[in-house]
Amino acid sequence: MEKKVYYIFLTLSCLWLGLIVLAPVLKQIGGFSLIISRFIYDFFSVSCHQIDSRSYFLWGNKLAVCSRCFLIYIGFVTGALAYPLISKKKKFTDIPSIWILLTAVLLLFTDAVLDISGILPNSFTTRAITGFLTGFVLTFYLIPGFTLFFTEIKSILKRKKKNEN
Amino acid sequence: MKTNQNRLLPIIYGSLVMTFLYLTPILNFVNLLCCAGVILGAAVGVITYNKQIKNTDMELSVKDGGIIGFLCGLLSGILTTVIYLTLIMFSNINPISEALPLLEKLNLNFNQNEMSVVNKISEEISRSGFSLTFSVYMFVYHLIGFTIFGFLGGLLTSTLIRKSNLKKIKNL
Repeated sequence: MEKKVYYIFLTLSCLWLGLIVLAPVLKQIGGFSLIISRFIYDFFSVSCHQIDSRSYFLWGNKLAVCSRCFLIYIGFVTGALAYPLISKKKKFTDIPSIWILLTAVLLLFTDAVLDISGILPNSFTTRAITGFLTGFVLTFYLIPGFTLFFTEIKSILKRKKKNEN
Repeated sequence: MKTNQNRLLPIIYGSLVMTFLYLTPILNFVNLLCCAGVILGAAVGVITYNKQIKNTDMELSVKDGGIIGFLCGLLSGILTTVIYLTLIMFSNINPISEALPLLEKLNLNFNQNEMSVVNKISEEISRSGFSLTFSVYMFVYHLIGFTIFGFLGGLLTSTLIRKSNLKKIKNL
C-alpha cells in the first residue's frame, strides 16, 4: 500500500511539473496546441504571477510559472525521487521535525518580503535556492500525509465491507 | 462525551479565510506563493476542527484533514467566483479588455475565430456585466486550483497535528 501511494504521488508530481514545461512547448508547436497551451497558462495563473522578468524561458516562451514556483516543483519532484533513499530505515508515515519545514518556508517568505518591501531585491539565484529547498522539504511531510490518508480510507472501506458481510 | 462532531463550522471558517485572502488587495499577494493563502485557509479549517474535537473521544485523522481542506477549497472556490462575478456586475470593470493587453504581452495571440468569441464575451460583460461563458470558465479554474491546494493544506496540517498529538501521548 505504502509503495503504491508513493508511486501515485511521484507520478502526479511529475505530471504537474510536466504541464509547466509543456505550456511553452505547445506554444512553440502552434495550431491547436496553442489553445491547450493557453489553458495551461490560465490554470497556473491562479497560483502564480507569471511575470516575464521573473520566469525561465524555453525556446523563447516562458514556462507556465515563475522561477520560484518552478524550482519549488522541481524540488518537490527531486524530494519525491530521493524520499525512499533518505528515509530508508523509517516508515513511510514518519515525518521529520516541524522546524525543518518552518525554516525552509521562513527563508522563502523572507526572500519574498525583503524584495516586495524594497529592502533587499532578490535574484534568480535566491528565488531558486529558497524555492527548491521548500519544495524538497515539503515532500517529506506530504508523502507521509498521502500514505496515512489512503491507509485510513482503505481501513474504513475494509471495515464497511466486513460489517456488510 | 461527544463522539461525533460537526465538520461544517471548520469548513466555513477555513473557506472564509481562503476567500478573504484571495479577494483582499495586497493580502492576495500571498497566493502568488503557490496558493499559500488557500493552504493557510485549509490549515485554519483543520485547526478549528482539532479544537472542536479536543474534549471528545475522537482523534484528528489525516483523512479528516484532507477532506476538510478539500471541502474548504470547494466552498471557497464557489464563494470567490460568486463575489468576483458580483463585483464585475456592479462595477465598470471589464476583465477581458483588461486581460487582452497582458495576453498580447505574453505573445498568446488569438486567431480570428477565437478573437470573435473573446470579443463576444467582452461585449456581453460591457453590456450587462455578466457572461455565462466567462462565469463557467472562472468557476472551473477556481474550483480546480482551490480544491487541489486546499486538499494539500488540509493534509499537511493534519499530518503535523497528528505528530504533535502522538508526541504528547508518548510524553504522558
